[in-house]
Amino acid sequence: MMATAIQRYLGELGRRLRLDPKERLEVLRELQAHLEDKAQELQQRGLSPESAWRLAAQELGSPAKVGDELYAAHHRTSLAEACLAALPHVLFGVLFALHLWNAIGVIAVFLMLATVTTVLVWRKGPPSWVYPWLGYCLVAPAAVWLFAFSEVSYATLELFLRGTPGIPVLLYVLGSVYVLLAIRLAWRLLVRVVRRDWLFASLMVFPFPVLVSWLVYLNNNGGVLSYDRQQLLFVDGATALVFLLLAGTTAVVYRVGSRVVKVTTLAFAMPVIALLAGLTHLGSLWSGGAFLLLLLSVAGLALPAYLEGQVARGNRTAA
Amino acid sequence: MSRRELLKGSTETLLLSLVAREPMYGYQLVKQMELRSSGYFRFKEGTLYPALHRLESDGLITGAWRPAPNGQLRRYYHITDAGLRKLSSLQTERRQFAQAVELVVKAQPTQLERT
Repeated sequence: MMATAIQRYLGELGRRLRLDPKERLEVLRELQAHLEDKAQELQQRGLSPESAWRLAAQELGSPAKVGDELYAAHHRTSLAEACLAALPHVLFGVLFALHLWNAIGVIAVFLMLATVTTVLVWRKGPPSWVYPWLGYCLVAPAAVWLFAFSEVSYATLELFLRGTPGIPVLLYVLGSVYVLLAIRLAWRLLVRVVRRDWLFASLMVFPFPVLVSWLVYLNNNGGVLSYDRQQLLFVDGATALVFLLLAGTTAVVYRVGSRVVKVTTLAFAMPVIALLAGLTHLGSLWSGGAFLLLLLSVAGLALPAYLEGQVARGNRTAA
Repeated sequence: MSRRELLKGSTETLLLSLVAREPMYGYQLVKQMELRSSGYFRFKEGTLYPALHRLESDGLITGAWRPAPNGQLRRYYHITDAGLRKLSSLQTERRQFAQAVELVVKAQPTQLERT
């Protein structure tokens, strides 16, 4: 019975550590050893085993408090790592500042750099700074998926209305399979990141509302090839600043030790930055588009947090 | 300044001093701290491990599992070269601080001495 109480104590503490499984197990083994030594000493002083274990856990402190302090000790990020985490946002901001977003070659080089960086470091066990890079790796697949999704949706509508999808059937079937398969893959990746820490998943999708906002702007202004150059100069500058804000917030979230401060910073910054992007690209905060961006940014924070709860519940049930 | 605050400010120096003598594991550190300070310092156990892990991530100590005298595996902490350098600088700083405090305290005749 006492062993179960200790397992529960260590289990609650372990959930707060948000470390990779190997490191987490190491910390919990060490604390378990401490509890064993303390309980043994208390039993030698005449306490019953049950009282000894309870007092040992009590003297170590509440699992929430000890877990949070250990989290802060293990998640201190050096300035260099915080800068590395913020770097992709800075680079994307530079693309806008230099009006290079329509230079396909430059964009391709940037996305390749993000992909190669992520793949190289992912193999050795992903360092915490890689998640914003991973987010940019997903930009090109997300754009392809969005295109396939819109085509498949349109073809499905045609199928219902006219009895034919309007595109070759094989292409329609392949497109549908791709759309569903990509959702499954993206979901699995999200769950994998959330297992490490849902905050990393939020940092991964942090720029997405800004990118969506910009794509809507581009679409409303005639696409990549036809645009008003003067207007674009202003919008590019403002978009670059929005990406610098993303970079600054990311660096702060990585650099601070306290989890409460990390979550609060992100919870405040995500909707504010999404609305700033909306203001830049849509011209007004009182529109359906701005509401959609706000919704996206809140989902970017809330969905990974909710998912982590579900994964933890699933693990407990499986155990 | 309360004893708790003093301990909080000196945690790094105290832990590095203890592991510089010999490699120790967490519970042993708590006991040694109490023993060597004749019970003056009672380490709050929950704050010990975060402090040790901070020192470890700063590269000042390293932890390794090895059997304790009772045969059970314990995570022993060893001081690193960087840790020894840091300890030396902390000790110098502490000595200078103590000397400075002493000079100020001695230089001022207390009200008690004047009366």
